[in-house]
Amino acid sequence: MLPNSFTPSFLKQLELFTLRSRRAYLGTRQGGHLSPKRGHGIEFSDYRQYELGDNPRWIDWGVYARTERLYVRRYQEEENLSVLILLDTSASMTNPAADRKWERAKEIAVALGYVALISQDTVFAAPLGNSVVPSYYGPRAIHSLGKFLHEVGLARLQDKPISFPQEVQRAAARVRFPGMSIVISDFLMPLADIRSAINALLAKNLDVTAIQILGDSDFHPFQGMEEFHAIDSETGEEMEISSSGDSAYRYDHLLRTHTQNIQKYCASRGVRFSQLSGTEDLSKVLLSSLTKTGLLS
Amino acid sequence: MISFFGSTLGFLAPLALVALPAAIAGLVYAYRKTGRTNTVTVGTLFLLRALPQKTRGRTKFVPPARFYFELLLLALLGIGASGLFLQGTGERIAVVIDNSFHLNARLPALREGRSYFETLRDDADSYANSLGAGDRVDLYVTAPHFENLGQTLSASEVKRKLLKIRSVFAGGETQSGLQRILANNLFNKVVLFSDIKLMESDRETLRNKLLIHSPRSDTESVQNIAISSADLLLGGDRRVEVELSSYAVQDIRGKIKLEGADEITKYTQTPLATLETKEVVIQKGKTIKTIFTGMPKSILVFKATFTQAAGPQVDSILEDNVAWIGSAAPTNELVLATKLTGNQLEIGRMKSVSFNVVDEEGFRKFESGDEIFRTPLILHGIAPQRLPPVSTLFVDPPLGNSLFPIKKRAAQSIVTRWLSSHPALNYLNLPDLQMKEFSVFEPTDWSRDLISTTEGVAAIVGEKEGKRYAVLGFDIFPFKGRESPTLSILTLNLIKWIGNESGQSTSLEPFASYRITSEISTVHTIDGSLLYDRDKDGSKNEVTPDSPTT
Repeated sequence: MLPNSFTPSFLKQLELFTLRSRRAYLGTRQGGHLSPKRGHGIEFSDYRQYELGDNPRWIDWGVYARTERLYVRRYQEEENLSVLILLDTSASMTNPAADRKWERAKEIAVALGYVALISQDTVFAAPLGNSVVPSYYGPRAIHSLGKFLHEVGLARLQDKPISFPQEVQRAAARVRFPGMSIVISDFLMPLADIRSAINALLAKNLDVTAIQILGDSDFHPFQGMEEFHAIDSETGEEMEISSSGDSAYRYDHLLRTHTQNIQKYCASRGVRFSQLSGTEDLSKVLLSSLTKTGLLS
Repeated sequence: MISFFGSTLGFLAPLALVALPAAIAGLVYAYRKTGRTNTVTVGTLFLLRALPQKTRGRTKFVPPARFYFELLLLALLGIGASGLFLQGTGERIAVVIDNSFHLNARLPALREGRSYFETLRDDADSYANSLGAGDRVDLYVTAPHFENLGQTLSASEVKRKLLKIRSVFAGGETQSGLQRILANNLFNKVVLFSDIKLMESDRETLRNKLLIHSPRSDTESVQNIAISSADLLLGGDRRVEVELSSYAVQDIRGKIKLEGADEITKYTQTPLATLETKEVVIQKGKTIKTIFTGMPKSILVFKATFTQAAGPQVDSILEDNVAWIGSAAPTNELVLATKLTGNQLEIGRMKSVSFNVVDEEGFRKFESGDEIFRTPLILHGIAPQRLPPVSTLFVDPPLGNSLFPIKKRAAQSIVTRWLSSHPALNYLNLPDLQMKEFSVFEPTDWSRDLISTTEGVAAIVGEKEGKRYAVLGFDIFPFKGRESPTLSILTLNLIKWIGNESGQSTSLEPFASYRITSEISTVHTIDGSLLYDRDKDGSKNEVTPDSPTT
């Protein structure tokens, strides 16, 4: 079950992209990413002296002609990649519904998953709070991935509140092969929680990308109201909010500072960071925002 | 009255407008109170919590569009409640229909034998046709009480309601009702359909507003012969006395037929046997008494009928030529039909009366003709299909019964009017009557209102074919004796009344002869002429009015 925006033309567009890992990881099967293994790929690596048992076809006869020594060519192996996609399922992702944060998070997860599956990578889908982290392989698995994220993600959204860092740690603990990790969340939580979550992923030697999705109400919570009674969708906490003249400005400043702090922290730890809007066009998001970060090429 | 673009607007209940500002203030308050605290579910309070909270001060009131819509509704409601009407395009008219009984008179030679009331109703219908589109009519009837049948009616609504008005067997409250509606100054015009003759002083006062449509010309005189009373006198010689009164301008010859039946306790109609017929001649304006002696003891009910002899018929009202006389002797035995037991009703406290208590099934047997009750009946919480053939006290008949249409159930009402002359109310101070809950009855054509309250009529009484019937909308049981004196006295009075012989009218009826008590010195007709003056004619003790309008 793919999101409605996944038209055949959009899928064709996605097939042109590849996920870019900044490090080489060992894979489980042959794929499109350079592996630290030396082997028989097409990317030349270096030479070594011929040893008994080496296939004579790998001997570089040109070098032998110049040096009268037998060398064999070594090539870098190309293997597949493990891609762990973590989706924030906290209630703030669905409230208010008009912001379409959860829908956008799901679309990006499926789109990136499809890009990975096309490249023969293995995709691990981890809606936070879910006990199972299934893996998908091969382009056809895109439908299963889409259905899983729709159904399991929805069930998780209606469940009890989650602790973001704890759930990220739990998902990271299930990773057997290091690879890429993509965290999709609104990151509207204390910086310490975000740090803790990112550190847990880095500790597993993952190449982490953080994608922040915000809605209109995250940018402009007052929306013309002078005073309102706010209820936290995650904790149920209630609060009287009164807006003075500069409240909008102050809030904007708070949000920007929070985002900048995440960005700084991500930069310091070699984590890609991208901020997206829930209502922005999906193609534009993938083409401009995610390619700029280097996640897609 | 206010002027608005050349038209004059009026309010029926301007006081209702006073409540409007208060209601608007309430609406604004509600919006100020709740509008400030629109409840919004936000994703997280994480950043909002970090905002510095200011002390709430006086804020500018910027209501949503819904507020203005509700304000408009409220204003319309207030204006509606105040009864706004456009004065410029129509008139507010009161149409009063006199439906008192005397208008049933019909003159064979005139109007194709139609009664005055039918003529009067046709006149009212024609008047309704002549109403303008903007005219609004309040329709009133005068009998049995002066009553409003509808407010601000259009011409078509008036015509529809006119068809339902019937002449009732009661005198009207025309004069007092007119004074009432003229006093509140609500109407531009009052149109009265009646043959009433106003006193000169009233006529002068009301000249500008009152328009009278009379179905009868001044030259027409209504002649009537009526049985004014019929009594059965017990004793050694049982005899029936029938009193016949003449309101004619000539001597009338006729006969009085006395019929009787020895069995009237079944619903199946018992054929009446003619007992005796007497020829009578009644002189104009006189009252004569005809006595039938030696009536057999087996006869339980009598029917007296006056018939004019052959020749030009001058009797214009035939309904009063018949009288029923019941012969049941005063009794202390009654049948009490109830769904409860005698103990629950505490009837044992009534030492002077003995009850034969039957359940509802027992009463249904009686109703189907399987059993015979000769004694009066009390039906407690039970309503029959038809009026029983014995005198009956109905206590709190159930809602929805077909015999006594119940308008509604009411509670905590104040007694406003009662038939003080009725023996059932002897020794009673009615304002003390406490009714927790009671039924309000619709008027019937044979009954009179015994007790009226602010909610409506709570008790009615009447006589029909020689039997007495009283209907109470409230419960008088359990009988509490001294603990509840008003209800107890009322109960005993009613039991006494239905247990006594029927046939004697206890109220003033149209065309009846009235004995003048010594306290009354003068009697005037409505048109102001002196009918009786004790000082001038001390020996005269009986009034025989010459006009049905008297």
